[in-house]
Amino acid sequence: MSPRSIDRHEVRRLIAEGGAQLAEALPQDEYDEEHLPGAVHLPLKSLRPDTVGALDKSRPVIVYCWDGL
Amino acid sequence: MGFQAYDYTGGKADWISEGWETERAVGARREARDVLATDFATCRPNEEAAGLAGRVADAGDLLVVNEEGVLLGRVGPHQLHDLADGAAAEEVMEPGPTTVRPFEPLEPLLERMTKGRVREVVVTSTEGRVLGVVRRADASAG
Repeated sequence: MSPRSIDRHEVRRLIAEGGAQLAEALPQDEYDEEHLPGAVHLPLKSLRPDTVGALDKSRPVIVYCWDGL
Repeated sequence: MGFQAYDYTGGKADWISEGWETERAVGARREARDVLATDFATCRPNEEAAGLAGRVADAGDLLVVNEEGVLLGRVGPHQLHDLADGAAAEEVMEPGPTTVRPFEPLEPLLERMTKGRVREVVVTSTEGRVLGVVRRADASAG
């Protein structure tokens, strides 16, 4: 099932109320240059069960790119 | 993989455009948002153009914005010649002026402004709302 699309206001709400985690799906250098507060780096090519270990499965995950996945 | 997942479709560009806090590397490249001037003058599209001359004389170009702050055009001295009776700002404005986003790399932007003899460029969000202006004189001095 595809992730539900949300806007920036919903991002803030999910973080504040639902303890959501942010994951940036961009190359390492772009993540290092700047990322949303608290976001972890999770490039799309690395999305495998063994590489998402940094994420807490009990909390929602919000994935973002530069301007759309 | 068992996650409740969401896709923030606006992405980093959308977040930065709102001026919301990010974690940014020390020594990151300079961008338009780093030299943003917010002392710009505006008018509404339905304002009578004849009444804008004084403000244009004081402030230079006026940015024509709607109620949401979305940029529609610009009114400067050139647009205030030979006005028809009752003409509104939106009828005389220069529509759709060139804009950049807040994350526009600054040095190439300043080079383009210098080549084109452009004194200032409007910075807007991804939704077209005016955030400020980049003035070549101020940005080059920084």
